[in-house]
Amino acid sequence: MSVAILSARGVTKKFGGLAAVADVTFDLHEGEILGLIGPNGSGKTTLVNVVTGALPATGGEVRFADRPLTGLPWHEVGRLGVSRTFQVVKPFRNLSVVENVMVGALFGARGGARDLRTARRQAEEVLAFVALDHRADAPAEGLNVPERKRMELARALAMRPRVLMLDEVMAGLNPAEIDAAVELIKRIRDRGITLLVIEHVMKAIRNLSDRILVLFHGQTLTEGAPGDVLNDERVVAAYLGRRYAEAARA
Amino acid sequence: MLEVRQLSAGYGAMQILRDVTLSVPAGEIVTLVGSNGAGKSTLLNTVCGIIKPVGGRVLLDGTDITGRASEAIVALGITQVPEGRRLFPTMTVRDNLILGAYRRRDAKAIAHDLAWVYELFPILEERQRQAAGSMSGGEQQMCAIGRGLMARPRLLILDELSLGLAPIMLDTLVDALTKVHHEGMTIFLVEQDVATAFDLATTGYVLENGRVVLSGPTSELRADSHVKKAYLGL
Amino acid sequence: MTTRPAPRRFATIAAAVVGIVLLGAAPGVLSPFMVQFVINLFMLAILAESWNIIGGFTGYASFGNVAFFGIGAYTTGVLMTKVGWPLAAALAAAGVVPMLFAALVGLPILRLKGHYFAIATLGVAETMREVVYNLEITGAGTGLVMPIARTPALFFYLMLGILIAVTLVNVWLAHSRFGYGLVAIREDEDAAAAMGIDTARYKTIAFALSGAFAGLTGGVFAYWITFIDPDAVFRVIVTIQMIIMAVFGGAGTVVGPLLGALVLASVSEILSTHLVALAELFNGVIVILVVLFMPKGLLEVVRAGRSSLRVMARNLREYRV
Repeated sequence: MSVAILSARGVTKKFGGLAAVADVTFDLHEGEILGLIGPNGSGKTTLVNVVTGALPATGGEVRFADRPLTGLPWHEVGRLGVSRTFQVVKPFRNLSVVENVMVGALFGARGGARDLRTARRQAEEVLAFVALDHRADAPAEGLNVPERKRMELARALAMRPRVLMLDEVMAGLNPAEIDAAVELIKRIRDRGITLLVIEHVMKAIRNLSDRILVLFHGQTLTEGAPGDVLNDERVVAAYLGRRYAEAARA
Repeated sequence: MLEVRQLSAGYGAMQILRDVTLSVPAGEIVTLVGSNGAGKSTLLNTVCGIIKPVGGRVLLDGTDITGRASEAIVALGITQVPEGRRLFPTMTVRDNLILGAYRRRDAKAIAHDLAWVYELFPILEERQRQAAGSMSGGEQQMCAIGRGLMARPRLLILDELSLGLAPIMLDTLVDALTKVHHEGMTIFLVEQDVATAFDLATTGYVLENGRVVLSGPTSELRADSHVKKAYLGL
Repeated sequence: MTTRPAPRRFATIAAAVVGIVLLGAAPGVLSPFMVQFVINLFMLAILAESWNIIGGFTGYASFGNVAFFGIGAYTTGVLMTKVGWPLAAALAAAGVVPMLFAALVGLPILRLKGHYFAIATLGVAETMREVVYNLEITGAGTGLVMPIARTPALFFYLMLGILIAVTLVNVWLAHSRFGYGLVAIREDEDAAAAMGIDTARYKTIAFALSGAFAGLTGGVFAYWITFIDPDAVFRVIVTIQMIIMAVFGGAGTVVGPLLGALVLASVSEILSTHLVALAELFNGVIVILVVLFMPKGLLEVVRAGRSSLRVMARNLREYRV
């Protein structure tokens, strides 16, 4: 039985009177890839925002490696070893690719590297890992969509996280790029990083997830092995839709 | 309705489109599919007057509109729902929709069309007073399409409709667009999600490296082995 | 923010040392008028370079740095005239007091972004002028008369020293982890926080540093012109000048603000002696030129060397005039 490296209990986030996330409880087991799916507006990104400290929780608690995570300032969470990517990537436009990744190396887990040379070396390693090293000195502005996604990922990896949360990294990628991204994520897991992956690309979710958590209107709909969850009629009705079901039967 | 003949275009020294020819007959849904970097955005930018082509022509109902300013092209009845939605985030959903009808003066018809959009996308009516930027991606996509429809265009161009949308959301959009099409709208769909594109469109063009490599009825394209391997991941 | 190769670095340091030595000899060689001009130039360069810390590197465009300048001037003024402190101590205080003030004021104000931050800082500067205007200890409206200094060269070397110091701070920012943090905040503050940067602390330190140097300069200024009143040291035009110089030269670079101060102060001086009418227009014209042709500053264009015209043309096109 795997250790829960991160646990969320009763996490709630309200905006005004509206609960974007309502009483969500889940465990993230060390070394696993947890898929997080749900219709648009079901609270997936908000949940990640609350867990990583970008937004304060209205209620509930999150613990990471046996310390409370809720209530910590945003930058503290990154320093503890929980990193995330953003759905709409946030490159540092006026820096080069390697400089972007260096920021991750400089400020990541346990405070990061102290000097620029070490940070640069670490950044170059990460860029090689994500196969973006040939663009190391290119300005971040000049990257195309898949490259920008990989840089965003590299930045988060350079923080040497124990837990990495990916928010729709596959959006806008073609099938070949999606396959490459899936392989990359598996290699990240092989390095010992626990992953939570938000995705709408079902092929990727099926291939990656050890377990899947489904959100609907801010609440947990169901949770379990991909085979069970993706065939659950409630999930088909709420999320997968008729065309997916037809294609799956075909 | 829309005809593109041997269009070549690019940005400065970089030529992206080479000799692209396609046609969108009135009343049909036509799709152009291709990967990132194939040139889909460049094609749309050229058609809508944002960049000037180096060769070829763009015709709307037989009239040459090549190289005309974007405002003029919008005035002729082409509306584009851009990639990434580009809503006005701090304005309400309702205001965003009404702004779609900016060029129109017929208040009663505008109100009627607003009701029509709400019927297609009930969630928009529910959220009409909410700031558009605070909605989720799929809801924003519906709002963007609604805004496009509010212009009552003759030709509706959709750029990357499916980006970041849950499968069920795509169902909603496909249904809505099918309904809109049955009411007579001509739709040109530029897409990376080939499965969805072929569900909606009757005719398809496949763009690779700036050239049209395949074209024909989508029913046939679906079965093409190259398409299956490269785009449907099968 | 790149680490430059060793030989080029050595050349730059060598050139800087030679330049400083030459400047050091200047008071003995130049006419008194020129010495005054250079002191003024140094002052503007320090202000631009210190603004660069919060405005250029961190991306928080403060429109109120003259407040720190003025507080520094009055700190020195009050300590020397009312309390009898010697110059050295009074100047040290002129650096420390505005620095603490910046840290304090920064607590609420640095939470604002963009335009709101600019307006709030402008408000702070205007408020400080009114406060000083109404206090007895600062001489209220009548101002303070400073003790006369014997050697004009003293101000030259004081300003030169501060200029070297603030430039070295900029150099440090361009090559340090702290500097990277500031730039990250400028580029995307949310991403910076998510990556582990304590944005509130970093912004406050940058603001305080910026204030310290502006204040130090104000202290020397007070002693230099021997008479200060609120209108002399809390002038909005000073803030505007330091911003324009920094941006014109290249905000966020080490050398940009210095270059901007040198070029603009010199041209402005020439214009005001020979073409007074144009002098008034000058600032406005510069702003327009910068926005159209060199939004990243003169340094970017100069560095492009032979491609500078192309760089300017591209900037113009991107602005889509």
